[in-house]
Amino acid sequence: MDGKNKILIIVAAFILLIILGILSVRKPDIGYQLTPREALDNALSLVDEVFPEDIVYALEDSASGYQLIDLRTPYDFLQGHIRKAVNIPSSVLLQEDNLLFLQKLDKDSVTIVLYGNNQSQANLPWMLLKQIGIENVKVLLGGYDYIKGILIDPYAVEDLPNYLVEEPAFDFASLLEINTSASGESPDNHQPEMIMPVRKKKSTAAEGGC
Amino acid sequence: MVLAILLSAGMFLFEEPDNASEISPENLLLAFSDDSHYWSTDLVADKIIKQDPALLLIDVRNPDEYLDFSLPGALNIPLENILDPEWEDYFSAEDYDIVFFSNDEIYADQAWILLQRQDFKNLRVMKGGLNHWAVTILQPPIPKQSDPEEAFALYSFRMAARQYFGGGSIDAAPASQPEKIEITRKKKSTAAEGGC
Repeated sequence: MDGKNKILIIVAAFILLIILGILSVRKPDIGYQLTPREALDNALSLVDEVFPEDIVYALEDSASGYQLIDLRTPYDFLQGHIRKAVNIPSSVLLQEDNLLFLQKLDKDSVTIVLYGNNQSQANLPWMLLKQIGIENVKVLLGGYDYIKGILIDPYAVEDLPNYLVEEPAFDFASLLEINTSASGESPDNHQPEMIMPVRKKKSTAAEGGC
Repeated sequence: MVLAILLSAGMFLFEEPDNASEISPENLLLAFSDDSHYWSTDLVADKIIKQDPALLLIDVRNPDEYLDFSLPGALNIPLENILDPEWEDYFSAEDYDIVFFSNDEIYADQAWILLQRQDFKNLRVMKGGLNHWAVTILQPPIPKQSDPEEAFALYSFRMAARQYFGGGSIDAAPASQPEKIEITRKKKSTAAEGGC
């Protein structure tokens, strides 16, 4: 009887240890601090959009309270990045040490500016961090491609893209009219172009096969 | 006995008081970090042309822009109204592939993440938005002679899609197009017979 009890106690202690171990390993809970409605109102207010020109001035002033976060892959980061930026790829944004780093910056009222190659790459990470309660997080318009154009490569031949990407690049309705009138006048012009190259390729392939 | 108590205590500790209708921030990050929620303009065009009954396009721009131009069959829910309870039935119907779009993908993505967080299913965003739609579907670039065959297939698809979305151009020359396609088909078949 004593032996059986001993075994039971040992097993119970063992299970308790396992449970405690799992509990201590479990990540700290990250919860939402903003409701979807609050997050939407914040996004609509556009207060967290940082213009590329502002970042250029902030870079010249060493005491500015900005911390740039590069959300691209480490490979892209090594190819070139904005000065003083820290690389946290967006896929590991919520890893414990990264999150602690961001939370500490936030507590020290440092403005965190997220950027990717373009605004879109930083948009969703920004929305996410905002919703889990990091208040001083902002998003860079234009992204690295634009900054590279004005700072690193100012004499490039290519025109800078418009960083206000949500503005319509075309007058869509008139584009439709152009298409309609163009194909209405000379419908033959378009069709040979699209059929001809296909025809050539197929005939050569058939010869080679036999 | 002791074991049962310990196990039940363990189960109790594991129970999380999370809001059941929301997904965790980690899962939300996973949902967008592989870009799988993006649909290309070509895929959207294909689904519109094939009149996919499960496709539900949602234009999150303001009503003025929507009235000026939008995709065929798109519903207008401006971004500021996207969380209004009257639209919830649309999002919770899991049979639909809901595709958000705006001029770029920024506003559409913002609508996406707020609804994805609430665990609605099958939400997508049209990659590049209408600005990309204009340069791929409405004005497709002509592939170079050295481009792979897929580029030509894509180009001919886009030219066909352009005619579909171009409005009047379909009515302008409906008779001449099928004839031409038939001729090319016949040539191919005779060439293949002769070779073998």
